Amino acid sequence: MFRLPALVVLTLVIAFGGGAWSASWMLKATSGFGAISLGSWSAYPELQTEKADPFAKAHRAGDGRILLGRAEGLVFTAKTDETGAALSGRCAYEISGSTPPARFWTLTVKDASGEPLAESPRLPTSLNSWTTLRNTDGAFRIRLSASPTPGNWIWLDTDGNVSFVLTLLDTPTAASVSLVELDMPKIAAIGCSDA
Amino acid sequence: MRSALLAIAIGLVGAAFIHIVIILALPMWTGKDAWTRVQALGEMNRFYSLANEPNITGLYNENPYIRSAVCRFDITDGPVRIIASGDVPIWSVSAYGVSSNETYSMNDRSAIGTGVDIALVTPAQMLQMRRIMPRALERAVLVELSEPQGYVALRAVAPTPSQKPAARAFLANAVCASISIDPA
Repeated sequence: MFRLPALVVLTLVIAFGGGAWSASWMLKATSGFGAISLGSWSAYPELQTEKADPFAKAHRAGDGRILLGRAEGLVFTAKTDETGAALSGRCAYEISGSTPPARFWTLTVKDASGEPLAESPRLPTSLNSWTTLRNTDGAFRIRLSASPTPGNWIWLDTDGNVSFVLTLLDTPTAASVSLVELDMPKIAAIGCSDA
Repeated sequence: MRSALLAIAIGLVGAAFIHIVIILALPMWTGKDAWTRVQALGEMNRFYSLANEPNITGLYNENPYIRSAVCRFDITDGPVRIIASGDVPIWSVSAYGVSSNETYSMNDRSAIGTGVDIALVTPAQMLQMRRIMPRALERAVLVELSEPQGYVALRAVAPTPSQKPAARAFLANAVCASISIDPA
């Protein structure tokens, strides 16, 4: 007697429960397709365009940021070092090499929730292409650690995981078809403080 | 037993449908997408320079070397002209539609002069302008937008602290004004 209503309820529970659960799971699991990965760095060249996929658009609407346009620049984010280990705010890192061609680039650090680390007036928390010291061949070597080191140094001493953000301004990278030949700087872990 | 399996199968099809509906509808319902935040900044046709720290508007300069200002526009009744000039090493500008899709972007290397001079027009206004080009817009970059509403983000780069006042002034003096094109 209650068989048919029970079946209808079962159908509806599977439809609404499963649909909502799978949608939220997908949004957590992926930040959208169309990423380009170069070593530990990844970027979404089409995130701000009409061509972004529905998952990327959902994330974009949830973040509510004013993204860089195609002629403006491209943002690369790294969450792991070159061995694949997650970047920790209690470790020291060295970023070395060179960036793809760009008129200007900046290197900043974000915390686990994606917010930039608080800018301190006394400690350097970011670098850009004008202020970075280079070797004679144009390559650079940037240390990120809690204690200062000679050369390029960014202060890094925070709880939880961090991500490094390399913003390339006015770069042909976004339009380039094959990104394989581009060389991105390498991220090497130097050591971690026991905390 | 058969009917239970049928109920589960229909449920799964419904789940797939609802999954798609949620993903596609989400951008309209987050309440914190870029367009909603830009609307909350204030009135149309003026640039709002963004703060450097996170704040209640939700919009701020995430990059310490790049300062930005946002202007919301509606070109239904007339084109909107964007003018800015100043001593900044790099500037760039992008226009976005209501759903935050990029509709146009350029930087100082692709500009004609040294400053920003852009006119956002609808296809109909573009046709009108092709017949009689207003003298004031002769040197402006004409950008035809299919969507009449949207926002413009103007960015100025200040690589060193000494360049920050210039970048601030560049954004503070930027104009985002509605203009009228008279056929006469």
